Amino acid sequence: MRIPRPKILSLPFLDDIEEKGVVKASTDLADDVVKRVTAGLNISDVRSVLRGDPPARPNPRLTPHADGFWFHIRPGYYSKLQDGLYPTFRLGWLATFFFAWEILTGIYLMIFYTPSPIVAYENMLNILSNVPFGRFMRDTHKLGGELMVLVVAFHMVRTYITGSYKRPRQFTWATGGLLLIFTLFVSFFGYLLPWDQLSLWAITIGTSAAEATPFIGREAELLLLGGTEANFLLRSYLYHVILIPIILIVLLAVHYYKVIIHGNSLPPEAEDVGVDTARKVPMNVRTYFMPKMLTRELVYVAALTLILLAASAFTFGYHAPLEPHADQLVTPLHTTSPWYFLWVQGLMKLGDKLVFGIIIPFIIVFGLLVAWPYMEVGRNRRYGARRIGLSIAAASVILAAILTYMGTHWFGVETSPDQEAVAVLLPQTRPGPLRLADWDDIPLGTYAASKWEGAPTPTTTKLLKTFHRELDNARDNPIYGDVGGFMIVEDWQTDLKKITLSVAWVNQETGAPGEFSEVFYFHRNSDYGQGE
Amino acid sequence: MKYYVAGGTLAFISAVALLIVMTVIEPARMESFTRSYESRQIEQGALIFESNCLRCHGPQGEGTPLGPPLNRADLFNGEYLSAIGWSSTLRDFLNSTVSAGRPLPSDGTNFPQPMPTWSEAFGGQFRPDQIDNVVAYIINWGDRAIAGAQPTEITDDLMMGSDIFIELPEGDPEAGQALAEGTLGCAACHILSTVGPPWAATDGLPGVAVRGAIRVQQDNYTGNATSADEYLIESVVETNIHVVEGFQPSIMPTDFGERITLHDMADLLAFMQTFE
Ligand code: HEC
Ligand code: HEC
Ligand code: HEM
Repeated sequence: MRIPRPKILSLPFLDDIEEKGVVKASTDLADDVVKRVTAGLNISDVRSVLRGDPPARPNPRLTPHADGFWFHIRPGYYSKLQDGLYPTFRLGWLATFFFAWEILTGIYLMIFYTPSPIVAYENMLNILSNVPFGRFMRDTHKLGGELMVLVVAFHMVRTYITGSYKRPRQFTWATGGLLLIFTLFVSFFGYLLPWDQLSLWAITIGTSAAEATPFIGREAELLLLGGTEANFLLRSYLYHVILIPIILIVLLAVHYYKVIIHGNSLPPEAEDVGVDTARKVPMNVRTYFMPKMLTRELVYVAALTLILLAASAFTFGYHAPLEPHADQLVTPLHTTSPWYFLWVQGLMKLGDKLVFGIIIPFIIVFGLLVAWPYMEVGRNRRYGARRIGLSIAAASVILAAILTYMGTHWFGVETSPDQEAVAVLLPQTRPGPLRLADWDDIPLGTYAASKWEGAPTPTTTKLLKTFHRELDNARDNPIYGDVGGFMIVEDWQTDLKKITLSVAWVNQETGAPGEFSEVFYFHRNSDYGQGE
Repeated sequence: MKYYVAGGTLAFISAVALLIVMTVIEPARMESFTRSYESRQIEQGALIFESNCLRCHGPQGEGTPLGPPLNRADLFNGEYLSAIGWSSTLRDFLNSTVSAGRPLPSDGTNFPQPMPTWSEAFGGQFRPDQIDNVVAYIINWGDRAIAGAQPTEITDDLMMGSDIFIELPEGDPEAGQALAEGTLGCAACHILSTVGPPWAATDGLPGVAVRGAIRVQQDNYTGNATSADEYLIESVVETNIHVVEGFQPSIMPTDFGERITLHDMADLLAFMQTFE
């Protein structure tokens, strides 16, 4: 018999307990919660999805696609021809994963960062030394950003190869092209933020073409870079965290909307030439999003998260570099722009800044990239029928690789072999062998590189051998005679050694002796081996 | 399907496990970064000191006629700070002194120039982090402080300076050899290579011990030495006064006079005298 109870509060759960007992009431509640969260699947539905059971009829797994926000973005089913790795390689999903990763880690980093030249670098040190998981966030934010550039580029290559940019998907490709361009820019402006030597000079070099913009060069540069150091950093920051991310989010929404509207393209060989049947998937060749696509995508997420965690967790692995504080007065040897813009630097070595630094890369190349499907309008997606198109793509990839090489310091940069040899041991934008060497294993004294075999310890032998080998470039140079390299190690302070690397030679043209040396003070605990 | 679910679950569990491991090692990691960063500050500070402070405070902070010693015990043991009534830390003292300089010379000192201002904020050239670096470097002298307790005592009597006629103590050739092959780097240029004139005798040129007597007689000799030994001393402390034919001036460091003591000079001389 029901005992009437004064209703002060209406708590249906209490009524349920009275009616069904605690256990049943609780499981029912859990079931209800799960159903609301998944927009349609209760606990046993979820379990059957995970077990891979065939769906009941009518298929309850389609309800979330109809009723929920997140799943309504995704199609309820795919064709069996595209549920495997080929043709998409899930590169679009991967790009989305990295974008999301960047947003999450980026927000964490934002909490500890102020875009001012006075404190930005100090913030980096604080993130590394004082913020729990600071290094992890920084490392994977940087690694994720660079991988995102790669993944997006691969995704583009795959949609090109499968001819997925052709009618009706031209606009999908165009928005994709813009996504790639803005992905490059968002990474580029992020590069500056640590405000160390590496970032300052990479971005200074990368933006050096801006002033060559016709008519408004000076204004363009001022607008883009702000004129002063402080404005430069602040603007880059705002581009990196607000302007470009908003553009990317809008573009991504349009891009993915278009992907859904047209359906994922089938492999080229699966359709007749000129027809597009992506939206008409017959019942018998359907693969439902749940469970197949969903599990695959979640496996990607779990595996990538694991990889990113592992990359940063220990001393080995990947760590975002942090060089000494940015200094406008000291230009490090071998500065280059970030690797994904080296091709522009390579182009600029060919001639005029305006033509090769602005018009060709940013107007012609980017323009072609976005407009390609409107220019190359052949309807046939089959590989065999697209020999020219595919060859153009292969040629472009090779050209990009060559230009990238030309953008590095190995190409067309005048260097002096004495400085180069010292820079191999003591590079200016990364730690290098001397800084990474074992402090205790470098005894005091003066050592000649040519006598490396007789050096007292394994570490000095290795360093001197490298030094000696690198000096071969000087020995091969007719101007350099009598080339000798020396390493002088002095005891300087408690736990501090002064190491002088010096190269001596006789100029064969003038007969005058020449000397170049660089000093490195080496502290026992500076531990460059831990990453940064 | 089974494999995917199993693989995904495994990856997920491993990720969580790794996250737990990271949580455990994170404090040690942060500490290790802090320590290595503090060490790098000393490295950077040493470079700044070498190119900016050395000329007045001496290469080892032992002081010169232009500036007081910094590498001195009373600075690190607190005596000096309490004598001047500084109530905060040594780091703060150094930081503020280096940042602002000392436009008005302290009482009882008689240096030719005041201590310059170094911080950007006061018209100097250094950012705050650079000041921190050089301060870290000065503090690292702490446990090996060499100079006396008198803050403004000028220790130039110990240093060689540039007077070539000064009376030298008895020299020890072995100690001189250690200096030449070790910390001063003479051997790199004079024994191991020919960046400078070889000390050993070559065809037509006697060893460095006796060479000076010939050099000072030559018409093109521009220095003040009158004997072989004076010539050797002059070559070290006044390198550029006479440049040996076929060499460029300033290849040989010109600051040895400020880097070595009278004693060192005597030892070096004794060592060079062995190259007949
Ligand atoms: C032009 C010569 C000169 C240079 C260069 C110079 N100093 Fe000084 N420094 C002085 C003089 C002189 C004093 C003593 C000033 C006084 O007490 O009036 C001094 C005092 C100091 C003191 C305080 C010592 C004490 O006993 O109170 C510190 C610390 C110091 N200098 C550090 C530095 C550092 C670091 C640099 C390089 C960045 C530097 N100095 C460069 C001349 C110089
Ligand atoms: C970086 C190379 C270098 C180092 C290090 C160096 N010297 Fe020299 N030294 C030279 C050169 C070059 C000359 C010739 C030009 C000149 O006279 O200034 C020279 C000249 C000399 C001479 C005169 C030799 C002659 O034939 O007349 C003497 C003596 C001398 N050095 C002693 C020393 C001593 C002692 C040291 C160590 C405290 C030293 N040098 C360190 C390069 C060096
Ligand atoms: C931030 C960058 C990008 C994201 C997040 C993204 C996301 C996606 C996703 C999720 C898909 C679904 C199918 C798949 O995974 O392949 C897709 C399809 C597509 N993307 Fe992208 N994309 C990006 C950049 C690009 C770029 C740079 C291009 C080419 C210039 C491009 C062109 C296309 C095309 C043509 C399709 C349709 C493929 C088909 O229907 O088979 N996308 N994109």
